[in-house]
Amino acid sequence: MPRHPARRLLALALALPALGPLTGCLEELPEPSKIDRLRVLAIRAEPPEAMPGEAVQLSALVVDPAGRTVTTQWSACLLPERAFGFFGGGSQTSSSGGKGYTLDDAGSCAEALAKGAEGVDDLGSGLSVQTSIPDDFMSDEAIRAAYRLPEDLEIPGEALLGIQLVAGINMSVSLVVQAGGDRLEAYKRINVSSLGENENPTDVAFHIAPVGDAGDPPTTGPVPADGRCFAEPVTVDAGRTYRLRALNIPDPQVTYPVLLLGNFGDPIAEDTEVYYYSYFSTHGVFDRNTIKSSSGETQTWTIPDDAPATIPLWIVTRDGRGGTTWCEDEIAVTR
Amino acid sequence: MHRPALLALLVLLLALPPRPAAAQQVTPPKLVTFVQATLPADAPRRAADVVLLITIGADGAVTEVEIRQGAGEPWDTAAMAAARQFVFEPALVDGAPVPVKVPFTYTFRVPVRRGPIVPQPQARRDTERSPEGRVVAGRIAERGSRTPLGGVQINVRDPRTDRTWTTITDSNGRYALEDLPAGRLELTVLSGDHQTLTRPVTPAPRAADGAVPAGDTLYLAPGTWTGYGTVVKADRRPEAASEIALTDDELRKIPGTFGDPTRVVQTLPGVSRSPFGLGYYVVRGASFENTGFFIDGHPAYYLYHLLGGPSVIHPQLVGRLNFYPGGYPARYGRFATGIISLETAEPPDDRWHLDLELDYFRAGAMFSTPFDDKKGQLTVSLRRSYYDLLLPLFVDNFSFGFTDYQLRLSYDLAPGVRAFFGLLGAMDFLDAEQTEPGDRPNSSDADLGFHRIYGGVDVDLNKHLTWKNSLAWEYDYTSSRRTAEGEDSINAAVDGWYANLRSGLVYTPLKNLMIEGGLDAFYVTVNADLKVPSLPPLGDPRPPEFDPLTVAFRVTTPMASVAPYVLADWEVVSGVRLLPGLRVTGDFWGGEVHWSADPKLAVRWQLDDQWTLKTMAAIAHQPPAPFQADEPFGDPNIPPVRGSQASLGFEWVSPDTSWEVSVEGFFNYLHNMARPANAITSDDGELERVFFASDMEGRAFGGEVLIRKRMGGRHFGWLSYTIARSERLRPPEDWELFELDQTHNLSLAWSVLLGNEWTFGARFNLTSGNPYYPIVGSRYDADRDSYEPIYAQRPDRIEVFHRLDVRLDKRIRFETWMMEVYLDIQNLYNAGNPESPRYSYDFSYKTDGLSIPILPTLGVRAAF
Repeated sequence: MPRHPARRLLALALALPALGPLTGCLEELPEPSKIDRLRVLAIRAEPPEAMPGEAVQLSALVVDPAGRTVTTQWSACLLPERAFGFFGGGSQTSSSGGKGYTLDDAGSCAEALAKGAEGVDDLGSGLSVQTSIPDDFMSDEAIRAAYRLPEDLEIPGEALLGIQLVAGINMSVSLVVQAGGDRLEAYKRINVSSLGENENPTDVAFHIAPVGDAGDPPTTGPVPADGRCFAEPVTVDAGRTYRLRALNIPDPQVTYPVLLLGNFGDPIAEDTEVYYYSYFSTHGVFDRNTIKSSSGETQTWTIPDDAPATIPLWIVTRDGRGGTTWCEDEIAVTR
Repeated sequence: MHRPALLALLVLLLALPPRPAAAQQVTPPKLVTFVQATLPADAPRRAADVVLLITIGADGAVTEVEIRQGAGEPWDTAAMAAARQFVFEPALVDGAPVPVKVPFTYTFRVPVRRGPIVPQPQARRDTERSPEGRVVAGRIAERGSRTPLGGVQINVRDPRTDRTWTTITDSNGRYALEDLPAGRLELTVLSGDHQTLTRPVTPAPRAADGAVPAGDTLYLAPGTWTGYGTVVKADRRPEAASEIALTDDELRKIPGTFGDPTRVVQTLPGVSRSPFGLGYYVVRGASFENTGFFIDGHPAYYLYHLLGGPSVIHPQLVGRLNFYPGGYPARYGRFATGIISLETAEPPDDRWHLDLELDYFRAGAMFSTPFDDKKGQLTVSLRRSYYDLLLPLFVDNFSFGFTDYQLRLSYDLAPGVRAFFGLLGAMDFLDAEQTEPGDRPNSSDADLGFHRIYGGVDVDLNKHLTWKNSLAWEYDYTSSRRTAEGEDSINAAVDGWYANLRSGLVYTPLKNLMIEGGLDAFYVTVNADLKVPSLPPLGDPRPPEFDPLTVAFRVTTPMASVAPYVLADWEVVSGVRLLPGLRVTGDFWGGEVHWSADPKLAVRWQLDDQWTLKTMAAIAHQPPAPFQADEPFGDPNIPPVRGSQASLGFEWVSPDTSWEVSVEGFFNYLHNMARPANAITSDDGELERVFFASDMEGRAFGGEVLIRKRMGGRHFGWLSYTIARSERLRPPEDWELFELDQTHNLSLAWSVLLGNEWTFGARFNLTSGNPYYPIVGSRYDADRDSYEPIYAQRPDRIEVFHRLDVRLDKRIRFETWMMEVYLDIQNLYNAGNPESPRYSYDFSYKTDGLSIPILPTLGVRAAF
């Protein structure tokens, strides 16, 4: 028996209400870094920005832990930009969950293709396909459609130049993936402008070491071959936590102009590329879903005790403006 | 609202003709019919004593009333008019009725604590005098509250002779029985509402100068089954077709409201349930911002402390709350649907009062004291939460807290000239560090609050005309910062102030006509210092994380409005009241004046003592919010929201006026509502973005039922039910349900006295779930590494909301103070009631969203 049951009861009675609102009873939801079903992890366009008339190679990183046969269907079209307003665009979001960005949701090229709509290119199937940007993709009509400009609005010359040279307009590419009864749809934008100068990230490499290892991890290293993440084969211990670090981050990173077109002064601003690394595996727990190069952070990965002998690891690198690349590795696990 | 001090049995015995010879037997006149004085609806809220000299004829009728010492208008006229209707049993000399003149003090009290009592000094009914000339005197007050008890019968009995002397206390609770014999006597205090007190007394001799000794104060405990006080009833005529007035315990003892008067509105008809119990008002299908909240006639923008905390005003300072769901009086404006008007209370002015309150989360104190000259009083209050002291015991990355304060000063500068001054404010803070798995660590902190200073003067120009003036200046601020690793910090500091001058003349030329005209001038300026995410660059796919380019700028948006108004209350024929009003507003924003006119007409037709028909039609304009009306976010050409309202219904009042039923149908149409936009337009040869469009329209219609048991007796409460439909039209789409539409909304709030000063209250709420568009699929955005939801074409509703809150109060009285202990349990049976669904990252899995669990609160309040 507690020595002062009444006092303890009182303490409990006082503490419970204070804790109540904080504890909550929210169900834990799955993390996106955990691969437990058919997923599209990335789509890459080469080049990520293109000029009218230019050819673009598209490829996708599709994974299915069940190892089923995967079919794909690609399509491309011009869609109006999705929400780009300061206050959520034409959304009807609300405390009740909202309807989403109804006015901005123009559907997808896959949807339009299925409906037999005009202006949609069927790009075929496979994990990699090619398309080419139409020569007239930057027409006034396309600009109006992309940015929902009123038909009677005369686009001022300076603004037109800003769109053509800096902002561009996006060609939307849809990818429908099916395996067994599962169906996924993914999309990506190919930014088309008169300059089209962006490139996909290169020289991407990673370093892995157990948490607590002495010494500073490297910041540069050799670029692995064959799309792998690590220059050397990696073995990890089950039940141990590892630190993952991206290498060869450009310093300084590339700067590029953007067209803000707000009401806040100069419409042209300069932005700086940042690399975003998204980590995926079938096993283990990552500290964060995405690591940002500018933050100086490192990722941690805890290998479960019951991990199989080998586990896959996928890391997707994005530059924040359409450039994408990825690597994948098989990690050996020891017990 | 001022009420006449009450009546009880009254015996007058002064200013009789010169004392007759000893052989003569004198019987003083006795008041047998008391008439309550009626004050104008808009009479200032204060206590007043009017000393009258009443001439009573030999038949007991009042033949003349003069003022000996007036209190100014409208009290003098009201007291005289009432006194002329008194009926007495005539004074007798040797058994023969004779005309006499007697002084009579008519006391108007502020009904805060309990029913006031009509005073009369030194009343006595002893029929036999003692030659020994000793005195028993003292004062009777209520145990705990120390409220003086007037009209209480005092008996003093001599057990040796079995002779009894009797008198009644005056309005200050004082009594004196003279010419009593020496020795040990028995004093008995009798009051219908209180327990009888009997104790031995020893009469004292008069002082050398002949003065009656003050004597002791005796405290009477309320009776075991004492009911709620009936001080406050529908004592002011409704100023609109529909007006719900709440006072006293109706405002502070409804379970689940934290004792907040402002939250009680949630239980009234026409008000939809607010998500997460936040306490904001969705009235008759309009949005939060379309219903205005006023404190003492001036708009209040900051009602609640952070995170669903209590309201910013001390509950004990709230005297009255009027809710107008539509067709509100023309003295109010700038809101397209409803008005909630809160009037702070004038504390009891009999002595100083101290009120302390403590519960899990906060502590508060309120102190009031009258000035020595009895012409005014001062009230101060302060509350402080201590979440920030408790939370570190459980979490180390989250803290918040609040402070609020009030000061109120009122003073009679001259007869009929009442001045008031006040301060009101609140300050909140919040610090949080986000370290959830999978997310980037970041910290946020926010400060917000307001400070208001207000003052005014009410002048009774003559008995028909009152001039009311008040001026308020309020500073509101909010500042928030967010910092995350590897990102620019985001800062948003928004502050602003408003000045509001109200000046109005209330003219009551006839008993059946009141006209009010005035001016409501308002100026507001909002300043924003922002370092915020820029708009997403055109053509940019946006990064996988929230990692925006930030832009820094300052915005200042001044707005002004001048609104003359006139309204009337005209009983054109017996029982038929017309309540017309017109408000013309010149709003200034965006460099232009925008004129609007708000005509209103309400009719209340009282068919008999029980039944009243009511109807109204009104138009109300609401200017846009400052950031919607000025660049860079807003559009200077944005029009005001226009609300068109109509209602039709009836009221029934039980013969004893304790029950009332109101049934009403309403229609509300809102034009020119602003909504977020996503458009590019051209202005002066440059492309610009448009962030708001004013093309949204809203409509709502429905029916409301209120069954209310007014305070008094053993219980009070109400059952309200609303059936409604609220829709929005967002071109080019068709009409669709408003996000906060609730088809059925049933609220039951009841409070019962259990005896021995235990009170039990319960509130039950049963409401249709809010509509939402379920997510039926998703697309993976390969640029942003995120999933974009695909919504269903037709809305669904979240589950029916149901919740039971209970409250148990126990009052414990000591002689000179009392303590209240209460247990308020919100969501007694821990109903889930998720407010919205949660989805997994790819929207393939749906689960319940946040809900408020069972939340008991134990509190204690001490009143001195």
